[in-house]
Amino acid sequence: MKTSIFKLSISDTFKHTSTRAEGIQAREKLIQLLKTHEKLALDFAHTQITVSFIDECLGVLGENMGREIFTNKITLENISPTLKSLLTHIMTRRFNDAA
Amino acid sequence: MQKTSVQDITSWIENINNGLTGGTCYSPKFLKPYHFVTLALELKRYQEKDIQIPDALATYAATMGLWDAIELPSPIAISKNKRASNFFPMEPLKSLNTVQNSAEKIMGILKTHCANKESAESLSCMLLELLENCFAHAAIDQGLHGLVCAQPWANGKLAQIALVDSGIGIRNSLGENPELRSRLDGENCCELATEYGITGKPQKGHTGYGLTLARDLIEQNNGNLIIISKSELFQSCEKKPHKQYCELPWHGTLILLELNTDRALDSADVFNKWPLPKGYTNEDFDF
Repeated sequence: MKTSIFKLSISDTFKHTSTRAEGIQAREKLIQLLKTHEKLALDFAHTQITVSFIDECLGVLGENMGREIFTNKITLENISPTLKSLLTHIMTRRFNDAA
Repeated sequence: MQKTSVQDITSWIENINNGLTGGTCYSPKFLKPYHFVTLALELKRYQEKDIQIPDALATYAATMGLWDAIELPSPIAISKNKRASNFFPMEPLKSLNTVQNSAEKIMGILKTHCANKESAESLSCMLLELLENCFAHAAIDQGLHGLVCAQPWANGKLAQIALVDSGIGIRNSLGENPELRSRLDGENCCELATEYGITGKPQKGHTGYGLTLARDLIEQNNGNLIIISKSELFQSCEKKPHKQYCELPWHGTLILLELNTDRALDSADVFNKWPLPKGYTNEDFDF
């Protein structure tokens, strides 16, 4: 395992960011990247995103990893106020389910 | 501009039914997106090929993609430029890719009518959720794809988005969740589906955000939401809820959204008001 931070632009990497199926594909991509990089920095600039996509991609990932590991390994950048509210809601629910 | 009433929709569904069972479908003088999506889906279901529309309405019907939606040649050619600026003609949701493409096209038309950038972002978020639901619940195996259609009226300061599917309906969908069965026995399923946390698939991680977000945003906007699923109807118009039984059922689910384009939409405010698990606050994360 390399001790590296991999920066990933959500809008450049994922063509579609609306459905649960697309959220699952994105989560699988993040899991693969975490096998070769210690940390991920996800850039949400210029991204139109749905509740379902975020829940399936980051929510399920957070639930599986647990809050401490998730917040240690994944940082989120260029978060709009709307997305911040949405992320807070989804991640708290998922972390709570994992606890 | 006057918002669509329950009476408007139920009498239109009755009219369509009359037309398809040998009579005449009388059209109102002012047609809206919901007229077209409902008519198109029923024409497709009945595999109706002989459609006669008065000249005064035919151009508008062609502009809204009526013949395209039922896969018949349109008698009137409509320029794409005209469509692009003022209407989002009916589009069948044939694949997951079309969900996002349709949402982007609708937003391309509606965003200039939104009160501000945050309103456009909020509308886009809600639209994507609803389109995905519509796609997921359509009876695709019978060729009856979900349909979406939208139109803003700049002078009326109103925009309408209408979605229909021909699927199993909200009651059957929610009934897949055993924990909801007792509530479904005594409650209107369309209203229940707008409640936070209600879903038919809790074991698959679904949390049923789509209709909850739609109702919360529409009420914030003082707009109009009408949901008809089979024989149940729920409306929230200018924050006034109404529910009823429909004698003539719709063969699937119809969702009608009407937004006041001069009033803002703020999904961040909606998300902040949704309940958090015990012990958490909105300040718990520093993203």
